[in-house]
Amino acid sequence: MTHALPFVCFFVAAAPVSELPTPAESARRVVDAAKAEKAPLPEELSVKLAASDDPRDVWLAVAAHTLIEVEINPEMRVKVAAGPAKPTLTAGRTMPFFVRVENRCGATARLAVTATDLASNNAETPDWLDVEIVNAKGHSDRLSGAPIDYKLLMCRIAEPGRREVRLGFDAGQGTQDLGFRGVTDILFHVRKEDAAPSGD
Amino acid sequence: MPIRFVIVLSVLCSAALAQEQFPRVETVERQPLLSQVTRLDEALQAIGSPLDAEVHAALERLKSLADDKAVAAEVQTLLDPLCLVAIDLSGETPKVTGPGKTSELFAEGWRAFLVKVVNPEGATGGLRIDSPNAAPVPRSPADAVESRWLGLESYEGQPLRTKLSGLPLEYRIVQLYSRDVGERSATLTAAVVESDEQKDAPSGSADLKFKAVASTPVSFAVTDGGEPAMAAFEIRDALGRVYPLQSKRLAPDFFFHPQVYRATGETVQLPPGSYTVRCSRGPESIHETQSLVVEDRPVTLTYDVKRWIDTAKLNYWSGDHHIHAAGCQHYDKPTEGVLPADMLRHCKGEDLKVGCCLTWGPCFDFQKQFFTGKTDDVSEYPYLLRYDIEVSGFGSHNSGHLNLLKLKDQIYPGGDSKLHWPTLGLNTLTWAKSQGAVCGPAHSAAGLTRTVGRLEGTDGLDGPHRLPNYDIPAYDGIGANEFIVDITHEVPGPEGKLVPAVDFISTMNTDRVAEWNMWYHALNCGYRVKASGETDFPCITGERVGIGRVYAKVDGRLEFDRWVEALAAGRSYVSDGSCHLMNMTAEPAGDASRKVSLGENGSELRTVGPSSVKVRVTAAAFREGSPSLPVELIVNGYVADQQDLVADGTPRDLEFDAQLDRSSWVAVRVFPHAHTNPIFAIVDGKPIRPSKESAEWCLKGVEQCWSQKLRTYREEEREGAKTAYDHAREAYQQIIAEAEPTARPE
Ligand SMILES: [Zn+2]
Ligand SMILES: [Zn+2]
Repeated sequence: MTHALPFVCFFVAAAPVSELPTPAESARRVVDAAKAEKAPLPEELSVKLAASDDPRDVWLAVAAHTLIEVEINPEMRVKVAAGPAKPTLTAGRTMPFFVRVENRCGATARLAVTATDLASNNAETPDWLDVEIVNAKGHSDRLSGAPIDYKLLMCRIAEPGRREVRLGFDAGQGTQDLGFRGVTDILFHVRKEDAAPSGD
Repeated sequence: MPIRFVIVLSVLCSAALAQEQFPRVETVERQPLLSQVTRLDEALQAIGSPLDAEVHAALERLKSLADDKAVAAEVQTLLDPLCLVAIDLSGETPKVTGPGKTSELFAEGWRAFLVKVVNPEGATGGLRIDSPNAAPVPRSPADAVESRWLGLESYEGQPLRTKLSGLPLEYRIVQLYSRDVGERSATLTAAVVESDEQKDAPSGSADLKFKAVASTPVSFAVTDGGEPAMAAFEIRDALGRVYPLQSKRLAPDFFFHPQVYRATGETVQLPPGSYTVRCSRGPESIHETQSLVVEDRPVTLTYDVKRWIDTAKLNYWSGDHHIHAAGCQHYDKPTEGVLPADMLRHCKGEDLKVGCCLTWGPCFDFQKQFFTGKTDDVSEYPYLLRYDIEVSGFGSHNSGHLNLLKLKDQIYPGGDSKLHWPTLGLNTLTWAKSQGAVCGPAHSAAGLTRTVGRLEGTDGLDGPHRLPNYDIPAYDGIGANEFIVDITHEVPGPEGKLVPAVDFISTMNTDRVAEWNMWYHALNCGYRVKASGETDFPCITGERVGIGRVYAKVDGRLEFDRWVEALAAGRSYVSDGSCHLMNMTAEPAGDASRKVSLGENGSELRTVGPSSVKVRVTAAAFREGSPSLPVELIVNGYVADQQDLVADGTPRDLEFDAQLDRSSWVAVRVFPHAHTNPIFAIVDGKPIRPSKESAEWCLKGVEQCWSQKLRTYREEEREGAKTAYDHAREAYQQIIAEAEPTARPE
């Protein structure tokens, strides 16, 4: 169920097929979005991006820094798996990760993320974690409809140590889960603040 | 430490003695450890081998304990006794420690055990647990056959991981199967590997003792109304473990179900013990729980189905127009989905008379062989299974999936598979309708739940449950999206006569408000689209077939064609099976001679001038505690009258009154459980135009849908798509010009 909206009408502009981003373009956009967030990029990624501006190299760098791989099947059911990125954070610092979406139903819905702390008695979003899919000018949390889409996920954990969090994703079909397919559990390694290179 | 932990310790200390030689881990960060242990708990439940309720509760309580060391100690005290082995990864080679006792197995069945992993160095590879006693018997040396009695498999599926976490302590699941009865020994080996292919990893081992008890065949005697029948059985032992083990099931038993379906004479193998068996046969049966004690002799479980209603006796035949034998929860190995006989078994066990088994994207080229253009040969009257198509994962799916029922030819001309189909839904429909198919969008609310605005000037017009409402959906999904365009079209039927492009809208398996709201607005524009009920098993849910249903009236012998024609004619109601709304009629008050029955003669009641109308329905509902449910008369989307129904299973005749001053549609609902199709009351021969706002809402929908779907139409179909949308725009503009403003609800 949705809540009544203010009595306004606005419509999303059509995206003609020719404008659907290729995977490499989507990868480039997500890098630009991460830079616009003014969050420090992980060193490995920065090095790769500095080394080459070739679209294919940028795409490979983004692929290697993908924390979450989301697959939306033709029935709009979401399957989530951990990607190759190392889930490493610096305590108290908001850091970017990439989400690769393989969109096999062409949906243009919003990709939503939820976080759960299984070690806590209340299953609500843990207060020690901030996680969101960036919805900003030039980089929306809505799917483009292209077969491969990258989204920007910002994460922050306050305290150092190891923290496991369950990340769930949905694309408009709700979070009704079939055999834990819409979630993945990520064990973050959170370094002490002073161990981090200076950012920004 | 709170007192309750002391109590738990005393309960478990005797059991813990057996595993006391296991290495202990002193400290682990509590958060990731408890998270891992919770996933273990979830995984054990998912494979039907849950933790004992006390252990589960004790683990939950640890979540309020803040101290790392105390949590680590408690976790080990609780879980070590359930472990088959401990594997210590601190040295060069893994050290495997057995439980110091004989572990119990049962012959020809699987048991799940825990494995404790002590990992101080933080290894993050895969953990390969194996046994020479689990090597394959085919092609084995003759003298090894005797010793290869064991089946062994680690469970590493969701929510567990294949690789080690790197935490100093974690627990994993291993499942063992015994070929034999009696005392046996086995060597269990463990190695950390970087990939499945790695052969030379250093491994450690331990010799373990087992005792496998014989399992006993339990046969079923199932009757419904004195006839042999199929029913659902969920069998759990005293520890809550499900039989047969879910993770080892192949069709006809589905691994994602706790239940199995069995008929008279069929069996399951169970080891001696006490069991509780939940018995049911669909939503018209009264579910019951039986106790079963298995000793060393074959036993029979007798289940005589008790019903609270039998709608087929009243000529209402249940059906689910959207179930799948492949894709989503189904496996594609070892077979590409499951077979017709498997699907029929599930329909029979849920007492679902008609199952429309739809071939779609996954395994299309394998499953298409089952299409015959008639009911499948496995059908057993009155249980009918028919293969047809859902356009999903190919063709016009991006603008909304389409259920195509009663096809003569399952594949669009120009190919023999799924890649050459049109991308405009209307083109798909035109082809399907030309062969007399019955068609409608699937999982309707997909793409309708997010909204992008609201129709201006509709403040205060939303009805109860927000039905109807005037928020503009985003049309960003795969439900009743292009539907908003397609309902305005007529296409040539098999004899060339124009027929509506869309027969029905699917309901009962997605957001109820969004799916019914779309239907109400379409009806308010005068489009006589019918509601049907579906599950989309096992995609929207894998729980069971027939969660969403349509009950269609067929007098005399049930035949698929007659049933689907009743569905298309709206001689039916949709339901979750807990509530039934039968025999709906409408008549001018005081003139029974002009009574119109739902689904007969176009469901049309003609009156001259404003008139009062009497609507009758036979309603029955069955719910725990027999609450009173509101049964609402709906006129043009709004509640016009209401009666209360005691949900004790007794069918009751209800009467409603409506004052109609203009042409209207009239239906009866119990939100969110059931809804009749509408009767169309035509006043002075005028078309149904009760809501200018509904038509404006639809027109906005056409624009929004175009903005989302244009890019999904192939270049060659763009021009046709534009024409199709323009036609819809004009149709709604015409209706806006003819319609009256919505009468404000009181
Ligand atoms: Zn579908
Ligand atoms: Zn489907």
